[in-house]
Amino acid sequence: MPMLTANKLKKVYTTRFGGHMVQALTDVTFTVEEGEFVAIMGESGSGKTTLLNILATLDRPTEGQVLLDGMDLTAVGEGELAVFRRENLGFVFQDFNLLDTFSLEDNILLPLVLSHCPYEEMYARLSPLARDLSLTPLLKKFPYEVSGGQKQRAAVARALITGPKLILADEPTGALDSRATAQLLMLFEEIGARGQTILMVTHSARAASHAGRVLFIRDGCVFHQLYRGRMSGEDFYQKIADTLAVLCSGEGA
Amino acid sequence: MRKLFYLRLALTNLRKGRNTYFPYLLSCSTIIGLFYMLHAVTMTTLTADFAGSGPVAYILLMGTVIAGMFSAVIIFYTNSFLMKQRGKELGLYSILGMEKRHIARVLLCETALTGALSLLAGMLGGMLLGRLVFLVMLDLLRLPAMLEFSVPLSSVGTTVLLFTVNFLAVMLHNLWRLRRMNPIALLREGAAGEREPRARWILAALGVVTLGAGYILALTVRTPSEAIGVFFFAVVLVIAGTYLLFTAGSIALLKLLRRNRRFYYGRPENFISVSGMIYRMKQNAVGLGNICILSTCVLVTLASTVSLYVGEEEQLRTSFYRDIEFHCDAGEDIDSRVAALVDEHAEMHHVAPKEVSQYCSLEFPAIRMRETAFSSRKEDYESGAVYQVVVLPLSDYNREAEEERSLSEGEALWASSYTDFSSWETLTMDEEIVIRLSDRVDPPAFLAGADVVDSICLVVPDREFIPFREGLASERDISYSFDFHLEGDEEDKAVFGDTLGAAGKEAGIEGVWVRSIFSSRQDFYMLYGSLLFLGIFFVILFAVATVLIIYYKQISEGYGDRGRFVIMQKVGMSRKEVRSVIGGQVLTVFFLPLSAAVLHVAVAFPVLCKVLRVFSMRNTSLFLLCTLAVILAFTVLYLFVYRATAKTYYSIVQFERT
Repeated sequence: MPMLTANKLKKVYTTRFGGHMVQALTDVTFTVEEGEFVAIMGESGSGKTTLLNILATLDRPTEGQVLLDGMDLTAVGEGELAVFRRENLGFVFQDFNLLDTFSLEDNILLPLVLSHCPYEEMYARLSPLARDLSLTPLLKKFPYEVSGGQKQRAAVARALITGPKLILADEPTGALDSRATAQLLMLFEEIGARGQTILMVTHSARAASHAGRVLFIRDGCVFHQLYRGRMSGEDFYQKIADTLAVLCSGEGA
Repeated sequence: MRKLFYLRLALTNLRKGRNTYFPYLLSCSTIIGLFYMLHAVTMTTLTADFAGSGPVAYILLMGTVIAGMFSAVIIFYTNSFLMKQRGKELGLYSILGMEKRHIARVLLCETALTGALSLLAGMLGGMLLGRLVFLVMLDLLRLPAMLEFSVPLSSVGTTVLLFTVNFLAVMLHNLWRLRRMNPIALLREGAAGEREPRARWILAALGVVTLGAGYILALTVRTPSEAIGVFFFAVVLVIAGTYLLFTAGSIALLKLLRRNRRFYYGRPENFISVSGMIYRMKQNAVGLGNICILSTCVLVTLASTVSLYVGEEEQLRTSFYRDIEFHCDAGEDIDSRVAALVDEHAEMHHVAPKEVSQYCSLEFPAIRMRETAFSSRKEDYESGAVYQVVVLPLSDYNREAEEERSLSEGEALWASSYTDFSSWETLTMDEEIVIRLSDRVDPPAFLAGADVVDSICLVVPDREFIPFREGLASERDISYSFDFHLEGDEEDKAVFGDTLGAAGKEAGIEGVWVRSIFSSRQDFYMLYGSLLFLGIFFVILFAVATVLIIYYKQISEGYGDRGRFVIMQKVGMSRKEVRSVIGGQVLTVFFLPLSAAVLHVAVAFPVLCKVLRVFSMRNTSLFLLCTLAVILAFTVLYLFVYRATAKTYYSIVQFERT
């Protein structure tokens, strides 16, 4: 059974003024297997963010359903959503979303504290994670004292510490320089190799080339998908770039 | 044309920032109006000529001067608060290509506009309400509304001058801020995140010490005269302690809490609140300290002036156990001479004395030198605690206190207001007179009102009364008192009281001194009426400042919380949880100063009671009632302001959208 199933997702927005209807997602269907690292690509306005918001349970689809590990996300009650999100999903954002009032350590521990985890266990989980992400010397620092790449690593640690079924990353490299970008993508690959399921939204072909599979979204539909298979990173990148060129030229729509 | 551009930009800024500027204008106008009214009332009182107008005008004048200083400080402070909020906006102007001198022109226009507007509104409001306020004051002074109230030109002039200078100072301050401004730093201000404050342990400890010292000083005061001396120091210590604890103490405490892992990581509320509060306290500590001190001022001022005013009649009775007191030097046949004089004078004015109380007494101040010795020598005055000593002959005491006590030679009954002399076997006066202290008795009624300083009353055998006087170093004469109530027409009684003294001198009685409750009643009304009037003025002034600070704090909190709020939802807190945690922090920030103010008032209560004794106010339960009522009323006002301003806060944080 797949880890994540998106089944015939449709989302229609009504604009606040004039009652204009906007169809953000028309019909999105795909599955993600456990341990897969999937990138979702598409232009601005293609519906990527809407899709991610629905998968993140921040938004609900107009039609269709999302199954995470066999559980229907659209059926989770409004009251339990926050807990569900905390226990099953991990988030990595473009702008890090670290709280400036917390040290990196406390930022990472935040989801565990929210889940009333005993603090001995928190530390038991934190120290190996911090070591893997080379955050150990930075734990007592505050977000404004560290670099963007270090902030994003802390955000990744925060997403991982609860042992989520699925990591959702929204343009995680968008605010990073090229060196930090490369480091972060390597990190994602490593985490993926260890069996963590990751879904990453991006519009950078370079970032997507680190994934095992790339889904292309256009006009609210899954337009195409590419498997990396045994391809090298460079070859896969070339292929993604080619696909993007086709996607953008508007042919085959 | 170009000038108009800056003016237009200034106008747009004021309109756009109405959330911040409207309250500022409103408070400036209120403050100006208040000052104008107070000044006008004072001027009218100064020129008016009614009985007792002199002291009233003096009190009002003092009040006006202090009110003027406070007004200026409040306007200045609020402006700097406002300017701090606008850093980013000014930085943006600079980025968009305006030079500093251009921004300066905009600021100049803005300050001139706000100054002119609030002066105009304040003066108009003051002129409209001035007459009403004057009538209110006359009512508080229990005077008929017969006095003319005009628009004193000097008040208009003074108010315009004071606040023009005030706004000029504000303008200079703004320009100075602008000069030091670094646009890039200002623009980035919001995004950079503020450095976590350091815990300043020494300052925190100093805060505990100063506040504790202030509290101990306030709690250990024994007598009213001591209270007056100590009060100022206690206030200074408590103010210093409050600021230190709000700034350094709060952060030190929060850091201690954070070190306690079991507490800090134990519950999500603790985790988020402690770290959030560290930043909140860093940004708000001084403002919160200000709110706390202002609130304390409001509570103390209102509680004491109201209770003094409400308890007027009772205080009069404390001060006058009989309607009329006739004191003179003692001498041959003095009792019959005075009795004849009073009877004759009473008949002339159609009044009748009753409940006559008469006694001889020897009163003098003395210094407590050693354990059991006093000295009445002038040269010793600086060397110890001052006591008021009253010596009475036994027969007078027995008659007035309705007792039948007896004393053997060299023995004395004693009474005291504050000090307990039970452990003293003997008491030595000026090294000559040595008396054995016998039983402690209640002070007789005619001494009950005299409790401002520490006092001791000694009742000696009749035949030792004169020798006591002769052995005394101080040159004091024995005085004779003839005190009584009066029956008759109110006006006759007043005239009787006012003329008795002159009649006594005419009759050749030496050292005549008459106290009449009827003339004092008017003095009391004037004194407490004008104190209450001033009290209300100051309370409004302080309340305006408090409300304004609360409002601006809410706004700045709102901007800070907006980002945090969104992030917390994204990392898995429900909207409800976030709302309750952040709401709790905001609530703490706002009710911390009020709680501290109530604590200050509670600790100050005993010392305030003592201070009020100077004004013959001895009804502790009345004062307690007034204090509680004032605290309740102020809390309601505070809550109301909090609720009203919370709306602005929530609209900034935008709880509706994620």
